Amino acid sequence: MTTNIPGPSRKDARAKLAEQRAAEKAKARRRERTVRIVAIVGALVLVLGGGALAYVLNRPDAGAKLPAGVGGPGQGIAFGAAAGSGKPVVDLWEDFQCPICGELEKNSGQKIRQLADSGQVRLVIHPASFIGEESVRAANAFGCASDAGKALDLHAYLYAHQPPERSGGYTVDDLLAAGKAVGIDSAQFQSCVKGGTYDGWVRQVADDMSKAGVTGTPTVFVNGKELARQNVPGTYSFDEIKSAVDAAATS
Amino acid sequence: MALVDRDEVERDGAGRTSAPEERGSVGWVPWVGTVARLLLGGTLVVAGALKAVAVTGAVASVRAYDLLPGGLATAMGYTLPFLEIAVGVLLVVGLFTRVAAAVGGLLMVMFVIGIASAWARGLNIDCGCFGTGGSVAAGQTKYLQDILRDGGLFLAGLFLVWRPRTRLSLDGILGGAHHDADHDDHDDYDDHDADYDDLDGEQGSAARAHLTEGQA
Repeated sequence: MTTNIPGPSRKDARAKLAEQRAAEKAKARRRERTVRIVAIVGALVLVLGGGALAYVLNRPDAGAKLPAGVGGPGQGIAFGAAAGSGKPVVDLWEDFQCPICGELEKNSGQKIRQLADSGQVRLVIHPASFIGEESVRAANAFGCASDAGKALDLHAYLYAHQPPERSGGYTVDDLLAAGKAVGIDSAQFQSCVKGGTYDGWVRQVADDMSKAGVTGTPTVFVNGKELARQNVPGTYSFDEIKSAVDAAATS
Repeated sequence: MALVDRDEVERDGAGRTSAPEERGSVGWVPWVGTVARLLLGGTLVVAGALKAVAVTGAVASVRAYDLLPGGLATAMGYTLPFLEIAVGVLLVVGLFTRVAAAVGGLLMVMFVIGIASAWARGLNIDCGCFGTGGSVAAGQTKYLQDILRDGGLFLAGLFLVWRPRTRLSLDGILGGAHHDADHDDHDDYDDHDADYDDLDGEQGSAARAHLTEGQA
């Protein structure tokens, strides 16, 4: 111990030091507590508030406007045989941007359409929109075209002119031009495409899709039974669909 | 040596005389923890943010696993992105490290179980890990890759539960000056102090020498 400070004064200095340290410690502890409480409250607000806000902003609007041919909220557009006619119901889930859906349309689109047009089946097309905003715009335009009675024409045209996935395709101008190409030129169609009249319905369909357990496109159900994709990887051949339809028609 | 309080006697029970910041874990362990924090936390923040900006896709992803009843799957789809962000941010800044790592690790276990179950059931889905909405073209699933990644992140979480003291953490800044590395096993509120630094060097070492003798 090398020090010149006499005993008592050294003791005082120690006491003072101890006091000072205690005060600093208390201050640090208060600061720590404040930060921790703020962090806990912040995390809870983020999780519960964020979740609730996201739900309120994104839940499908049950009262959204529905295009012609749609039986109820979230349902697809129906063609061919009437509901309750006893004919097989073919539910087709597809995304206008999905390349394999484009394949299906190319290989089987016209034949499937004939089944509906001839009244052999009730064809319900559910336009999915999980690939992106382009899909939402195309699905909305599909609804707009249904009001004009030309949904399947626009459907065929869009697949024939399918842009690469997520490339910003299916612009409003593209969709208006597509409408014109299939003979829809009404002001109603134009404002419908521009204003996203059926965006709410498109969201309903998306919600309905995941609720129905459909996790990929194209997916085909015949009379509520999902068709396994067998011969062609990732998609269906027309024969697969046709034989399921025939089986359903005779059962 | 009146300044030596009970806490300090207990703490130095191991009889070690090294400086506080050198005691306890090997020097590189807290740095491994920092890397684990940034990996797990960073991944959670990114995954959560990507889901949050397309939250309907997150809902669809949860439903695609077909493991939870409808309402619960919907609720999870809406809250999971924000839970991931919250836990991820806590890990990145290093606050409540142990609790956050435990939650993050549990999430990873849950994800691995979900993905493995989807794989086993032959489902054809995207894991939805980074907010892609559960749908995938046939034959484009990446289950093994997803499981390996989440398994690795689980190990990062496990490591942090074991050793929550890490470098460059808020836990360290807030309590670190008086946190004792020997007390890793205590919770994050561990308030024990190692105040030798405040004494002059000679006194400090004298105190330590005294304690060491006392324990011997």
